[in-house]
Amino acid sequence: MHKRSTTLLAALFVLIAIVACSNNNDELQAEIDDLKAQVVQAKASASDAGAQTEIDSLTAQLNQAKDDLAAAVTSASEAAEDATQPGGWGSRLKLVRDRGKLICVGVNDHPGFNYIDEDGEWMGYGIEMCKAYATAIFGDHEDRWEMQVISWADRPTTMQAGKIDVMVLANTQNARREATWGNFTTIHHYAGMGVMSRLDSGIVADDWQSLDAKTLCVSAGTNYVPAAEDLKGQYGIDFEMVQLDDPMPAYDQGRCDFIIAGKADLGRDQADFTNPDAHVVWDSLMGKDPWGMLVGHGDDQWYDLIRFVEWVMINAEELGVTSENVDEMAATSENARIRRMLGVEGEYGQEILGLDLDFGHNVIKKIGNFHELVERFYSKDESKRIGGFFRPRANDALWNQGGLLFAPGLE
Amino acid sequence: MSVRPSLEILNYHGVPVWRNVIFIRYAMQVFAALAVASVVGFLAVNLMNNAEQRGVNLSFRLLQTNAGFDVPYSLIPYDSSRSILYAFLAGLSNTIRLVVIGAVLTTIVGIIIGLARLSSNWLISKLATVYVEGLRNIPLIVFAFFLFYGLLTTLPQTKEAWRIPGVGVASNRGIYTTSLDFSSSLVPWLLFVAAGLMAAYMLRRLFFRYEERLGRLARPLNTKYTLLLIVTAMAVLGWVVQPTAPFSINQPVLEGVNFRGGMRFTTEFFAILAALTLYIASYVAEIVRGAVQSVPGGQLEAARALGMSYKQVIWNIVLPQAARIAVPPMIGQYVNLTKGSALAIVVGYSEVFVVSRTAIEKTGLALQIFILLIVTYLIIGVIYSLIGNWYNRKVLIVER
Repeated sequence: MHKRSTTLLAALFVLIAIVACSNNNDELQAEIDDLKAQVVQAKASASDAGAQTEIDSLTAQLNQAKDDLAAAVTSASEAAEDATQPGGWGSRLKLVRDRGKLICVGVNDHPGFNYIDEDGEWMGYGIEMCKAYATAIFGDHEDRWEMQVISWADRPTTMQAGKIDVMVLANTQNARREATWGNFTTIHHYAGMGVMSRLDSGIVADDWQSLDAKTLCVSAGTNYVPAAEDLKGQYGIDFEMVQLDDPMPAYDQGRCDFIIAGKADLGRDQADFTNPDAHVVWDSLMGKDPWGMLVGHGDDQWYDLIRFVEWVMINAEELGVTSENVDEMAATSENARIRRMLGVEGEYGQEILGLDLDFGHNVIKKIGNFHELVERFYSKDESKRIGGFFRPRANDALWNQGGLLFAPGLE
Repeated sequence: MSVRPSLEILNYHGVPVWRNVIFIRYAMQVFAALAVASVVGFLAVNLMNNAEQRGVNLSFRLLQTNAGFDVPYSLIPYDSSRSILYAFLAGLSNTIRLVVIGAVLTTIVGIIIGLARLSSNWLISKLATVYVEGLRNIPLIVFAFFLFYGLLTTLPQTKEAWRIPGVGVASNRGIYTTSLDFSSSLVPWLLFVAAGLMAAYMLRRLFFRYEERLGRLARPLNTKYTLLLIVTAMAVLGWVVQPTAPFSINQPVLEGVNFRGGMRFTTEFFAILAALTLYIASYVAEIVRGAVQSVPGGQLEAARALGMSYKQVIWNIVLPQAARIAVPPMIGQYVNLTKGSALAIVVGYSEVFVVSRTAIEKTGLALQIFILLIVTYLIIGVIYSLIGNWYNRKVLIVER
């Protein structure tokens, strides 16, 4: 008991000391007031030379104290500015550089996007993008990136905690998430929310009314939950909703009659079911599902840097620069747009974003252009894929090839 | 301590203030309060600064906005046009249903298993031991996963559901049991039954007086069968004089792919209820066993020697003393049950935590909703400890 109270007392003295230190300026001000009073008093009683020296010394002391106060005020305001810095321009890049590693966040069971293969290696489009960002910052991605695993429903909390550098998940962009989660970077997949239903459930494909009184399995804490609720109002139907972290096994076993997910993923999941022929993926879409990566609010440099990497990869596809011909292009190309992109000549903002002039060259060499990356996981030609499944480019094709993918020019 | 603090005590016997026990005691209280306040204050200021920097909204006002998502099987009337806060309450109502039903079942199962462990039947006591040791050593979340994915969703589809005629059906959509549908004539009928019970009670007292005057037992007039007959007669009378039956039997019927009617335990609810009940019951069983064993054997022998029947010994000697020992740890297990209910998230039962996660997705107000959740669980915990304290005071051994 005695020992405990001693410890407690010691802790309290430390606390009091901290509080006392924070009021230092008040003490300085009090000292100045005291000195001023002394000067006035000395002046009042000044009648001989002795008093004059006393006044001089007091005035000197007073000036010294005033300087101290000014210095203290300056340092305090600088400290206050420092305190607001971590959220501001450049803080994230500094943090990543100091750490020597880029921390990306994803799930570990999203085929083609974030998953762990048979050898225990991280694979997927999101992982490659994480590597691309790391390459842009450090020149290489070897040992320069790290994945952290969360569940879909943890995303808002993770983003608001602000501990992570970039979220390389298949994040659906919408207005509220843009406002409350962080900034969505370039949209790389223009998908739609699709529906898959069991053939034996009495649900007719593409007939929304037939969903009435049926059961839906849906991924908990995703935008599919409110989207499903919107369906009820829109078509005047009602259905039971089962929210699970991973709804696929329960749906496969017949707990539910239909599921909602990204349409491209549905076809992939169907192939894995016990009896793939017992299900049908609807042609109709139930909503927009644009995917983008996410960075936190408050650091515009970081937001721009991440988008620069994506723009370089998309522009490289547009300009026909691949990981194989990039060295040759850098050496011989006469195209000013290519030369600028690869950092051979000119500058388009790399310096203010803290990037190397030739970061584009590194990214294309190590990861490839956008087309190469997509082919690696979603190619129709299985021999080109190192994982994932076939997903038509469709809307994700370049703007000049009938798609929606568009990146600003690097100039 | 019966020392009353007063200002004179500060100068007591000329002891300096800083060595005065009373002063130190009060000073420590003040210091401790200050320390706690500064830590809490520091955390709060830190939180607000960080939130401001990241542009995180700290207002609770948005909880009033339209929820726009469903809370299935809410106990309170709910639809998606209600506010987020109301959706939270609807989720809480689902938690309360789970916890109340779970607490009752846990107690029953726990007592049965606990007594079974004390059974002199070798097989029964060993089975109970296997149950307790087996379940206590599995993490609850693993058990819940196993029940849901391994057992309940692999039950047959509704068309091939397992049926026990008159009792219910089991399918991977849920367990449906036969239930009772009550009509408007239920209340009058219950009044009839109550009247029958009253009459039986009065009659019994009259019989006792009669026997006292008689000086011997007035059998066969005074038996429980006579009384039962009176109650039954009143119940039947109440049934036949009314135009509609007070209740009817409701059997689950297959309609399309789902069953209608009967009482339904959805797969999700049943999974989390069974997981919590069976798991917590293994702890309750040990509490019950320990409490019963703590009653000194000498007392039982003494009671038997005084001529008490076995039933009297259990009800008047063992149970009152065992309960006094068992209840405080039991309250702890009910708290565990309540906290464990948040694991419903792995099986998708829409209790308050599941609803909160949807609400966070819908509004982005992670901080506010987590604060709300923590406070809610805290309040439930405090309620439990109040009940526990009240019971402890009630059964305190009165010392004279």
